[in-house]
Amino acid sequence: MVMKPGREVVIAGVGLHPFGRFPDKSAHDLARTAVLEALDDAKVGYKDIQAAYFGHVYYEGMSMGEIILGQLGLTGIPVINVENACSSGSTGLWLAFWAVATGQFDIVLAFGAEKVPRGPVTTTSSDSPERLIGADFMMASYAQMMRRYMSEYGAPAEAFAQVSVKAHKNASMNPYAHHKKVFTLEDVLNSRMISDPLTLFQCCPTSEGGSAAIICAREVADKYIKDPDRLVTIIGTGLRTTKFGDSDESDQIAAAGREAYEMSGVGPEDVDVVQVHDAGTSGELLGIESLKLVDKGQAWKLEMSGDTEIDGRLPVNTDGGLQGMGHPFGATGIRMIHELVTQLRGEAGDRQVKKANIGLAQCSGAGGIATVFLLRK
Amino acid sequence: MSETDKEEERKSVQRVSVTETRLKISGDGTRGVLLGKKCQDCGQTFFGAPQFCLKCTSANLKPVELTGEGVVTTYTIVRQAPPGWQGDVPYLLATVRIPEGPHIASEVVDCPEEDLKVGLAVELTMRVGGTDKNGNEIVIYKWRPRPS
Repeated sequence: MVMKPGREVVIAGVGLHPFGRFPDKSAHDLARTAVLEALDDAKVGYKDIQAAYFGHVYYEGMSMGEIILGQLGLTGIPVINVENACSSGSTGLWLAFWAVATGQFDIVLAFGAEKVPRGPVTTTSSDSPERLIGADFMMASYAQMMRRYMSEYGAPAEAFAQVSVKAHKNASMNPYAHHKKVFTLEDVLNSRMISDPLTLFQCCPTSEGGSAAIICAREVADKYIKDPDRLVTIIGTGLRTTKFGDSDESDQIAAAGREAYEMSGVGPEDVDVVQVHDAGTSGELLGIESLKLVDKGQAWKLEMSGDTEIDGRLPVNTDGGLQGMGHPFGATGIRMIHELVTQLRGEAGDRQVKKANIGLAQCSGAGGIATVFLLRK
Repeated sequence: MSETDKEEERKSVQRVSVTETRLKISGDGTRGVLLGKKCQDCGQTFFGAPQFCLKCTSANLKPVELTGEGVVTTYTIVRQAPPGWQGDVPYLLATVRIPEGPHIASEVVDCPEEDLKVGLAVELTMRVGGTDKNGNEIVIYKWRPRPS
């Protein structure tokens, strides 16, 4: 089944709260900053927003979206709080996209925020048997993916560590990034082993931050938007969960990619700049293969040859990705969109990719969730 | 306390399965069998107790006992204790494919780190892996290298 948008949907504005540690701020504060920045970027008033979708995982009181926006105005609009693990923000954006595409609303806000505490990340409830069994540990899952890939394709540990080296180099040029320190390959490989073969500097940092995007229908954009030259079109999107079958059939990243490619009419060969879910470094290599941006078993070679650098033939995670930016769960999906929009507008400064017309963002969530967005300028 | 009293006290500690829909224990928790469901329509077998067939969505599922051996498809050595883990660190964690098809992740015991590899043949073994809030010992299905 291919869903077809009824009309063109554009991104009018994006905003971020820097990622890092902010002990004196609540997730609400982080979200609000990002929303205000997006409104300012779009030059749109809060009064014009017709609906809002807030992505977050952790609970800081009920109705977080409403409480956050209630400080900007009580305009009576529908506000939906969205949870899809690490893809909560991008799921909110997916809902926002379809609401505008089908004509439900003309102009909506999708935003996300999180304060993730330090320590190992688990996904089940505190009394779940999975924890006793020892299988509920996000980084152990990424480590197993890494081991499987190394075993199947003979990829060395260096190829995975290189994902982190590149990520931190890119993040050092990004004022919004949590960590701006540059690492060498040795720094990454010699950092504390978390879950063999994944070292500490190959696990995305837990973090705090917020992100926001304002999207609207192209046909009414002129009513709200003063600068149409900065609009970026969402040409395709996909949201899939894991399906029963072997590793190819069940791959929800590949399935979400297919959905987005089919909707957009562009293929992997047309993509200029990529955001992919690198919670563990293995996520980057496996992700770009699932998205057919590189052949199976070849991603590790691409990484080691520098092809995924900003000046490479397939720039991946130009802002630092989850590895360099940090990963405040609800904020990550739209943070990816923020970077793609910045690249496609030609406003990425030191991080600017030379040819940036089509961007792809892929965000994952525990529980077998994958989202994909394709953007074009 | 006399030897008989100590014996009585030890016997009064119950052993329970970590998840009764996945593991049936016997012999004071030293033996166990993995449980699953088999779809009577498409023939697919699952670990545990899904309500409907995860492949064809049929409700026509029959309980089955699963083979207690398999092959390691991937693994890791966990060096930081995740929340809720009551065992030691480091511990070996492997995903094992059993002949019926399901992949079952659990700790590998009685195995030196250097012996753990993709393709290792393993068999089921029971271990006490924690205690519940009632003081019962929780028996968990684990893997150990299959003697060749």
